[in-house]
Amino acid sequence: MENLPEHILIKIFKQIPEKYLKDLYEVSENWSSIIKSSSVLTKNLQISIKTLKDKKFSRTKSILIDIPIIDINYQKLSLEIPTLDQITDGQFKHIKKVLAKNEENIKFLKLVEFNSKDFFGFDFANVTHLEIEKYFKSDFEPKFKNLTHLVIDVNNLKSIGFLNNCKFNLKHLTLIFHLETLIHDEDVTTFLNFTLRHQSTLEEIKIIGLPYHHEPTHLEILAKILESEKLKLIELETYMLSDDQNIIQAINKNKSWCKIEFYDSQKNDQNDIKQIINIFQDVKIVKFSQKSFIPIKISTLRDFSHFEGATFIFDSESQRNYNDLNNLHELIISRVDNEYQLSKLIEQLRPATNLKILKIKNLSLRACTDRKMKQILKNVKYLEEFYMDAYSKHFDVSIEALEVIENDAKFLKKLTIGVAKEKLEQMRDKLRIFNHSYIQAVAIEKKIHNTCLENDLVCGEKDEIEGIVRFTK
Amino acid sequence: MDIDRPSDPQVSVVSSDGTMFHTTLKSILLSGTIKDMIEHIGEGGVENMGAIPLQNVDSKTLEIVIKWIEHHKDNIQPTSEEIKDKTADFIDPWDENFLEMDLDKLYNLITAANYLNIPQLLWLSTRKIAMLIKNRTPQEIRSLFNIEDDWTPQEIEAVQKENQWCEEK
Repeated sequence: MENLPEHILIKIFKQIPEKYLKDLYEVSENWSSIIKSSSVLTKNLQISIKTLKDKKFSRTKSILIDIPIIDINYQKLSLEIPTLDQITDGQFKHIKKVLAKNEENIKFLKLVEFNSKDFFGFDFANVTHLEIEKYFKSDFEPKFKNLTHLVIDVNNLKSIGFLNNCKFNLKHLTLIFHLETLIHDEDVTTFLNFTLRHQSTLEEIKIIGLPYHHEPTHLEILAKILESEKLKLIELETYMLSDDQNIIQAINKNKSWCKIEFYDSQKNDQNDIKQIINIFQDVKIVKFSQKSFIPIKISTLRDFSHFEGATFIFDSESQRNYNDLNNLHELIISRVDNEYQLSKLIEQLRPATNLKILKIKNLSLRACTDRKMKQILKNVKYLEEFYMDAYSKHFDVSIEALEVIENDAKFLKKLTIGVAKEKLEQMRDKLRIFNHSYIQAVAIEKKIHNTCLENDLVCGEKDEIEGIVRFTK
Repeated sequence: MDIDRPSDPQVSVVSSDGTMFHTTLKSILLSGTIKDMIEHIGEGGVENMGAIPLQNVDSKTLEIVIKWIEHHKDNIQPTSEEIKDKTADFIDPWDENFLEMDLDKLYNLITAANYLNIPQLLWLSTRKIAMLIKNRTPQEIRSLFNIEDDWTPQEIEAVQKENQWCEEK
């Protein structure tokens, strides 16, 4: 087989359904390199490189580095490396080898969670970690000169001097700060200046958790960044930005599309929320973070026609007529603890033909039943993504829901279910039934603590959800 | 005189190991490579051209190829371009049965179909391999095709150790 010429192997690979390609990728270095460099892969096919994902390395608390490598055919491969303490030197050696061949082709780079154990310092005894950091920090600009997307966790890089003077053709930049940790002002400045330097090319900026005690100069730089006419999407998750006139003006000046997350503990009633919405008059999409602990009353949103098609957190206590939600693309419902409300919602979701993403978080035991879950999935037939927290007692809900998905939710591509720790094993067993029929990938991830696995996933009570099960059709 | 000329004249081909095979012009024209050669010398020259040497195909494989082209000589063959977009298709049971052979023969057939430019045969034989690969784990694929695992035993052991929990009941 290995003697067959490359173009014959490609002919063979092309006849293999996409979902099996990831197995081929694992077979040998030669095969993986042929698949990657040829046009075997269809656009955006996510393939885990060399055992990392399929051997459940990605089950862990969070993903360390996510590097979709765009090959010469602009096809996307993704490399997911688990948290530091689970990477062996051998694996990193392999990863470096893969990267070395592809550095110039890498357009998307995500550097997060270098050390999830400790905010304040790195475990310098861990050689692998130092190796990783050294690899990424040295010659950053020449190495990744074709980057267009960059995601960086500021804290975990300890010092970010390596970004000084770097310049790419970045279109997307995400900076993750951690509000609760110490970060030097100069690091914030460095990052903001780095962003400003890319103002002419950046189309999307996400700044998450900008420290509360920022210097006035930080807000000045931020306002300058936001003034760019090139920007199409801004996502800010920070304290108190709504109090800064420069920021407000900058956001309102040019933006037709903007996502703003607040979790300002100072603003905690409906009037404050209303006021914030009023401030950002021209912003079409406003997302209020659950971290604010304020369920936003629908009555507040009703006053604002520009919320159509919006992504926002839904307040289950509202008596709103859901028919107005027909334009909704994404709906996130939190704290559904009232069975009546859930029933009402299910009834009214029926006309939401445009709804593609539905997330029901912090579902209470009382509200969640088999029948209701099935109803939701039947009513929202066009759903492409569905998330729900299914707590221990109603574990079977998720299995029942799977059956409905098989029959009714034809468009569903991703299903994520939060399950209780003690049910994780059971869930895994039950999933085997479905494994070969229609689910392409099943990942069960153990949750270590209450930190979110996904940016937009907010857990229930601490330790309540211990496992996340994800399905991808 | 043309009266004596058969409508489908005989053509001879010689394998790399010197074995001569006889087949019909209609059959051999399924090979794009030979078709090009014949077009080059002109149709009138077919009867006089002698045996066609095929340096890249051994006798065992050539025998198989000839069996296939003779079976399909009256069928309309898809072009390479048409094959390119071909995905799942109905496979003639005769072809399914024909391709039941050991892997070495199948590899040789693929190589020959490629050299002789017989798109449909190439598609069928590569598809056969693809079907063998489908639904197999990487380890099974390696073992089926005798591919060496380029992970060291130490690396594999480490991976298994770290992922033991996945196998736990």
